[in-house]
Amino acid sequence: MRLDDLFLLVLRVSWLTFGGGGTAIPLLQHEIVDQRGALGARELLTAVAIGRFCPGPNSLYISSLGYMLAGWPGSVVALAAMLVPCVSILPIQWVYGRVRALRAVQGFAIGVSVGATGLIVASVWTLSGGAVSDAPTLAIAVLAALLVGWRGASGPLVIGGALALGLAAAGIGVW
Amino acid sequence: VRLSLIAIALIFARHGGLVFGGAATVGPTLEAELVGRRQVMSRDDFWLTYGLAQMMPSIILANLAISLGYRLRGPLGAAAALTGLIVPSFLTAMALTLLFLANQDLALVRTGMRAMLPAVIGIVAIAALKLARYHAGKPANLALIGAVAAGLVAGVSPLWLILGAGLCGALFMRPTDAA
Repeated sequence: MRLDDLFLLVLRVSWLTFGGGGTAIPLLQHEIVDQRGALGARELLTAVAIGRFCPGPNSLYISSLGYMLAGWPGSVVALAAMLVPCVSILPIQWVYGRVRALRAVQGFAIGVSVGATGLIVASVWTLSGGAVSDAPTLAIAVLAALLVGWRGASGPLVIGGALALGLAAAGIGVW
Repeated sequence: VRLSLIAIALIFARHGGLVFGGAATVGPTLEAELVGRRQVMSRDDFWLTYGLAQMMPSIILANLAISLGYRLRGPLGAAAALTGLIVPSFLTAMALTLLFLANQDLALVRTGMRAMLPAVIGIVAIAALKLARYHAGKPANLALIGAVAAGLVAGVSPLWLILGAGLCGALFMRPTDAA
């Protein structure tokens, strides 16, 4: 992918990513996987998994995606595009102090936050097609959800555990 | 107290770039460092900035680092804070990406990935469920979540869906509708 295309694509997505990096996943899937076919859903999920293994912000999977799409320059360009809206916090902080009392501004922020929830809900469905394809993969997805949701297990630990399980199963030739 | 740029970068590496768990984990320890130990800003200032960083788009921790770094030392302070936050995470992400791409054709790695990717789906599903429960108190919110989800599955561009949701919010929603 061309670097200017990548920059503009991630920039578009990053401006609409509210409430953490997870919201960007359905937007990136739409642009990169569904529309352009530049990567598969599995590669997108792999990048997301890599992001979960990293300390610091979870959204650094964007560098991993950038590398898969355009090599080292792609990893830096994608990260830079993701950071542009962050820099804009400085002027917006100033303006926001003056308009935050406006009901329409508050309503817009709430609407975006509720809408982002709908996107994430739907992306579970659209992304699972490639990854959850039979009984064992469905069992892993449900178990991971239960461990994180009800037992409070850490995401990286659960993803690492699933990876180890798969490697062990392959090692003894049962899967 | 005036912090050096290196001190700012190290603070945001120790309370951000090297920490697992995102903004929720970082907030209290960063506050203890900047407000309690270094006494470079007031508690109210810190949490006001933290709240605004959560509401702004893209990477919440980067919003926080830029805003706090700017308060401490202007544009250079913002750059130092961002560097401390991003560099450890960027290097880890790239090392893991190279490791994966170099080995993705091995049968062993393919099977490992086959087990790992459903776990990622499960974790995203739980995040979706928690968010949905947070907003589910109001029937109008549930309707909007359902409409956006159905729109995405039907192939409508998520860009239009999220802007449409924002417009609905601007026209019909008030702060009491948040949850």
